[in-house]
Amino acid sequence: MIAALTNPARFMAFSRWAAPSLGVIAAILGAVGLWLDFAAPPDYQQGYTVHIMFIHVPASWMSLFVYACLAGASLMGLIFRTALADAAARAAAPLGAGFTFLALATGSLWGRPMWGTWWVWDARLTSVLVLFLFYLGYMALQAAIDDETRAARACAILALVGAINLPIVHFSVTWWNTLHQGSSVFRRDGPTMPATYLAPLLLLGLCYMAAFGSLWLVRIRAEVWRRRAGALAMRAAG
Amino acid sequence: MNAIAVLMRRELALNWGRGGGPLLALAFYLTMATLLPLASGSEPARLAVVAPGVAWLALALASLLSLERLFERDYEDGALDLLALGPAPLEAVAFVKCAAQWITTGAPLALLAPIIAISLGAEVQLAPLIVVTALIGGLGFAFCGGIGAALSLGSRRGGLLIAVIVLPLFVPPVIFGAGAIEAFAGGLDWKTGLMLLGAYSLAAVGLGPFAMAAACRNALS
Amino acid sequence: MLDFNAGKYAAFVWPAYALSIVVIGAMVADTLARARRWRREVETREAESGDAARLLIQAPKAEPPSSPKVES
Repeated sequence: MIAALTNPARFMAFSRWAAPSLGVIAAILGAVGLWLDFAAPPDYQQGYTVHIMFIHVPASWMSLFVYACLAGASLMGLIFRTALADAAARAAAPLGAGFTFLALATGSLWGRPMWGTWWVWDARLTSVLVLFLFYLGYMALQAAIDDETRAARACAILALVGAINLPIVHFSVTWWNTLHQGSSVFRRDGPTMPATYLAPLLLLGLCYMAAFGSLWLVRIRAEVWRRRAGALAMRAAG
Repeated sequence: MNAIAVLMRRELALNWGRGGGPLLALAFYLTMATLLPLASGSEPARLAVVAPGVAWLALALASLLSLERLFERDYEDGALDLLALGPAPLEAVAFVKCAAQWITTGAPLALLAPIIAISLGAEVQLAPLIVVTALIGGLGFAFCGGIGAALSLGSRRGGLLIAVIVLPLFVPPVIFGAGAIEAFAGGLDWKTGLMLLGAYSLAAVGLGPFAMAAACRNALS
Repeated sequence: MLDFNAGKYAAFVWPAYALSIVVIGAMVADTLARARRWRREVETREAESGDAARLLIQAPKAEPPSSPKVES
């Protein structure tokens, strides 16, 4: 397993079957999940908008999960200094930004009919917003440094600093909300969720995760090919 | 220890001397504070409510100003290479640079902050707390900002890039500091916010130099 | 069986789903395009270097330029 993570050739062999398999799994989970989604009855309180929850919560999960993967790959890159780990971190960022954007947008569309505002400064949404800002900063730093190894290392440091910062941000907004007693705690998931909601939610969550896995592997493959093309170009010119 | 003292003296001299020292940051702070009533209407009641928060926010933004030059100057003329090879560890160099930044820019801004807040309509008795939070928060801003400055060494976008990187790091101190002031104004418990702010700044001071040194080494490699 | 009657919430629910499909679709498209592009690039360059290697083997060995003698 470790060899697949550090050795490019082993990784390519692994991802060759793993990526399409995950894609197929994602498609199946998505189809079943969506079916159960729209088979579920409207919620007593939320009405039909509960259906937004089924795509908002998985997107939020993914925004954090992708960040964890990015931070993990960054740590591996810093410790083991493998180009593959750097490529993995770089590849994860745009996907994370995409899921985070979806989490924010669907969260906003969910909040408007429910609580009357397009945005609410509760701990979770604010943390997701800061996470989105982090992804943007990460991609900006990546693009701004020309030397690839240097860029990867700088971004890795940023990722780890951000990983420490994110729970602090979450805590700070929670604390701030306890000051402003006006804002009630927004219990989106509810204390207990009925099975008719839990099933599509979990399935769509797993669908998003499989989709990310598949896309991530393909993006890393693209990175490996990109570096190989660059090396071949240098050899041809030299 | 001697090397650190020499470095500190150098940093202080450079920060005070170059381009009017903290005056630029102070002027920027003043300008932003002036823009707020012009932008949102000068109705005193409404301004007074947001005054402490805005003063705090403008402080954070003004702190971002001098960050680009923090490491860039030495990086460009090769002094950073020498510092990296010198007797003091790079972490200590980073610490001294940020501390000097705080002393020459952060402290003057902190002293201006209550004046800004009061001119926007905040109550006078908030002034001492504003100074204290601005001083402690300024420390956090200097060290977190230093991380952004070190990471973007040798990159092409400089100031704006630093701001985008550093903004997520500024969120907790802004929340803690502004929260403490608002709590005080509302008669609630403000000490917690102050302590949280202090904890954050302390963490930034303690951990920041390691990230900055790693980033500098990366840029020099 | 499947309930698609959104009522008054349609303006919120369907844009949410549409946005999700668009963004995820864009991520998929970009990822596949990127992979396709670089794979093609590698294959082209490998073919080129393969041609160059074949040409090198076929062509007669060129005379190495005589190095100027160093005057002692």
